Amino acid sequence: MLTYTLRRILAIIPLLFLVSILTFGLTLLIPGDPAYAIAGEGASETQVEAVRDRLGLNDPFPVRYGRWATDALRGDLGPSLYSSRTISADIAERFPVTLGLALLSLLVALLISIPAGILAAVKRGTWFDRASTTGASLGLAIPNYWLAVMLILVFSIWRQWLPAVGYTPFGEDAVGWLKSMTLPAIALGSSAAAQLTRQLRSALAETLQQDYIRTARAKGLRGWKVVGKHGLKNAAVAFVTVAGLQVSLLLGGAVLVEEIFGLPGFGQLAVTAVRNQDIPMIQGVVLVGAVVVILANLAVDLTYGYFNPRLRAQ
Amino acid sequence: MSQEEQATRLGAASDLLVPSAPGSVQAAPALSRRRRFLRRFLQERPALVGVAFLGLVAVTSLLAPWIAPADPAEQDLLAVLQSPGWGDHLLGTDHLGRDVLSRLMYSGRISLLAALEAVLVGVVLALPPGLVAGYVGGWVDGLIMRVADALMSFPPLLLAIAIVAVLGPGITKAMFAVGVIFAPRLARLVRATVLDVREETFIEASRSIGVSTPRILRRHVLPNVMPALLVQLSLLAGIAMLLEAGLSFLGLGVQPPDASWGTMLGEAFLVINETPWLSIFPGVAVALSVLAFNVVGDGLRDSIGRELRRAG
Repeated sequence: MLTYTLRRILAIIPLLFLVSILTFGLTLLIPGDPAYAIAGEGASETQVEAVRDRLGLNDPFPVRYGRWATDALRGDLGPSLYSSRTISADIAERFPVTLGLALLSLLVALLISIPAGILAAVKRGTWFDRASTTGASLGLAIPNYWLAVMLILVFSIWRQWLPAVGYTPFGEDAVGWLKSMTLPAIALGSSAAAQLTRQLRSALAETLQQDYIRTARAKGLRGWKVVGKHGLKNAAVAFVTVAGLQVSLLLGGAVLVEEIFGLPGFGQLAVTAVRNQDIPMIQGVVLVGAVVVILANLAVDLTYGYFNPRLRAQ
Repeated sequence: MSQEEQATRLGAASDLLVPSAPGSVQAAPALSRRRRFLRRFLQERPALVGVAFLGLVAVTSLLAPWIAPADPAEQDLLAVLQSPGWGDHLLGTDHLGRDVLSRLMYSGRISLLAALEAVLVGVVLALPPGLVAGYVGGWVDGLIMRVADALMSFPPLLLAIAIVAVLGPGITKAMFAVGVIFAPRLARLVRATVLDVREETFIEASRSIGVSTPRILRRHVLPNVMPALLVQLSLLAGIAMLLEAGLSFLGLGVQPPDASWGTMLGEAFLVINETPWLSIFPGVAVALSVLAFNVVGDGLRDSIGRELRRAG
């Protein structure tokens, strides 16, 4: 188990290296001279030269990458082009908002998908199974930003139960935070809920048809005990994998949801940076997003050891 | 089982909201296989409804210049934000007095074309590395797959936004970005299928009589990759529509005066207090189209899947 864990942890080092090269390499996609693009239209020659100096654009790519990556390793992503603050400071300030939103969305998704998926698998072919499968198909098809707009329409405009925009930090007022996050979390968590329900239903339904489940039943084990002890644990690997993959989607989806609900998170930072053509900021946001996804995948990998004893033995 | 093996097992694009795809394909006589597949697909009722719906969207958006009730760009500032009804404007008018139904019809064209572009870019970027990685193996495979892993570590929409940030806004560039997001997922799927096919006797036979690798890849491997790829493409087209609408909603995709369903949704959101229905129509159009792509993808998978089980 220890070897497995160490191997998994070591495997992320080359991955982080590639991710950082790809992130930094984004500037290579800029058509023409990046200094002109970054300085913006109508910038004078002196301004362009200043940008070139500030970003060290006169140096060759490997030198620039080396400098950026060493700084990034120390937690320094450089200054933003549009504010006097550093990129790291901006991200550190915004990230907790998005983290809270993503965790709450995941919670919404789990609260819906676990009961729905289990019931649908156990009661396969019944009206509940059909209803949850249809619901899941709809959940996958409905854009989360549209759901966000519809939720605002119903719960903020027609019934003024929850705020449509604005953010209350958790530290200031936990209830206020929950109120400001409920609609965004439902909007963002809906597609995750749909996908997890589908996954859990199919994995559990497949497991429940295995011979050892029949044996357990034949031995006289109660119905729900069979589902809980033998069925769920075996269906869990696929479920946890899909749940881990949601982290990436939730971080991406947060961009739109934060924009709609006016939440000062990571996604809103990304959108503002794009509108300002703040390329270094975009690179910082994208890099941090990828690192979070890599860590989430690592966490998922490590749970396999728990769910699959064969891995521990290796 | 490692994360990547799991991901392959669950289907290449399973992290992009889609269910799994078949992993292996058997070699069978092409014509009869195609005919059997078609017969089975025709029995998939939801998928046929999906095809019919997408056909309807395609036809109405293509014929929009002739059948749309009004010019989608024509403003009538005396008739802004009119409610839907049996008058001049069946689905009402927007904040500039433009006919919503006509705009929906015209923007359907952009939404469909955008999805097509993203999927094509994905395939073009994914096929060569996927085929090579699966067939050649070794360190080449290792390198290609590590790059794919790295690309898949970026949150999809965030990566798309970053690419649009450097390339500049516009629907063609935005959909190129979406294609880049699809590429590593498709490459993984192609590679997994090639790995299955590679050991087949007919490939070994071709190799033993001296057929060149590029020719084996083109003539024998590629046709076997197509079914799994087709399923995935249908599902990815749905995701492309979602991402297109999202990027256009943020103002990074389609630029005015053109419009997609995402742009319409973005404009409607600005006047949601006065005219809530304006937000409903484009959203329903996107959701139904994505649903249609998904059921078509599921239907394709089931039709191919059953054949696999029988052949296996």
